[in-house]
Amino acid sequence: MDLNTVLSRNPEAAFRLYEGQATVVLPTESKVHVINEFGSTLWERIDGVKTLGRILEEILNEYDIDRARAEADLFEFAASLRAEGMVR
Amino acid sequence: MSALFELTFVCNHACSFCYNCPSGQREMTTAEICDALRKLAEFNVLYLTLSGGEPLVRKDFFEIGRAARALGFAIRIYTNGYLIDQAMAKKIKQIVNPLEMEISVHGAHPQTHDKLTCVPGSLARLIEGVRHLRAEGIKVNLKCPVTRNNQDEVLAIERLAGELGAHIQFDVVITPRDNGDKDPLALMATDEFLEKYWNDDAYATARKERVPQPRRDAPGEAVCGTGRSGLAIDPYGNIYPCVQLRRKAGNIKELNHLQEMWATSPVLIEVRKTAVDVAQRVLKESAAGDQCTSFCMGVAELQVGDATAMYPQAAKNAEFRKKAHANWEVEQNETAGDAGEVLGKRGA
Repeated sequence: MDLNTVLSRNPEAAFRLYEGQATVVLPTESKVHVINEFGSTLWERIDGVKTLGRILEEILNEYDIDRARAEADLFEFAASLRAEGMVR
Repeated sequence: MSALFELTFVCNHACSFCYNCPSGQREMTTAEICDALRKLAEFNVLYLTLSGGEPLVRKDFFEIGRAARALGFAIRIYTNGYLIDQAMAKKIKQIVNPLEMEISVHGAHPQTHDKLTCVPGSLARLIEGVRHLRAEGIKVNLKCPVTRNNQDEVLAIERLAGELGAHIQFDVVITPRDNGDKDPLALMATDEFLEKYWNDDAYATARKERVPQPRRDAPGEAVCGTGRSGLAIDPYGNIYPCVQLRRKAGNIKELNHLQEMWATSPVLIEVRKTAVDVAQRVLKESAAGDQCTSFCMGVAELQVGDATAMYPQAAKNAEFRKKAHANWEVEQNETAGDAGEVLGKRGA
């Protein structure tokens, strides 16, 4: 995974945003995933078109955070979303 | 947030204790239902249960299911399973892809199940339907209302669920019909059975707890999520705080958005307040209230005319739960006493 990677949300995922946090349910599992605010910001932007690099730039434009830290967090969250089957 | 949507009151079974009470009004069209789904999605409902009657009898069921899936709901379908053959199971998976199917079962043997549904062959069709759903990888949750007619088959029903790869949920509380008709209550399980159900280890997995545990309501907590974390909609578009408490809060056909109704409806405001009062005062003041873990304001209102009143099924089950808990405490103390005696002897 790198900044040129394009991710898509699992089309089977049902989700809603509640007060900035995404609640995601996958029909194949019995688990409910609640994603924190930063993860939810990433989740909302994953659309099968934008690269992770573009998403990073959008997040940096919107939030006052350190670039290196944001990039590290973005890759960590993206990896965990992929490991849980919520994105591919 | 969750919503239970009764798509129709039409059903291909005639279960003797069914709570549905059709009023003869026109049921919503496909377009009206899809519009209602859009409003629910905009209102941030995540869990959507498609129910009835029997939802699969609607000719437009899959159009509705497709729309629900496209709107991003986590979908459950509550059905009697009768119409689910291999082709239907595949279609359910491909078009709706539900989180789970909820299927009503009333006995482990045809003579019990079919007698209650009044449809010969209905248990065999249900079992076949569950097999087809499981073959498609769809989770199945069987739901069994326990009556005096099937109480002796609870363990056999549990085994049947296990053989089919399905989960099973038992409900020992029989409710009046939605129009207040109390005839179904005559089917309630016997006291003798209920005492065993709450006390005996044999029923521990059926009741989903080894020992009945008391309620632990936090300060300000409500007795349930009625009008707070969920709502119900009938086939005419009427909105209720939940499927059991039939106080109409509005009609989804008449609203552009649900948000304002949810915030300002006098019915919902009253229901939320009462739900807190029940947990924080009514149950605490009742003799076995701390073991009344499934108190339902809707049943109380239908049966005794007061949403805060302890109705017989609730009181009875609470008493048996309390007794079972007390028996367990005695056993624990006896075991601790025995251990102390052994230690004492070793010490000597």
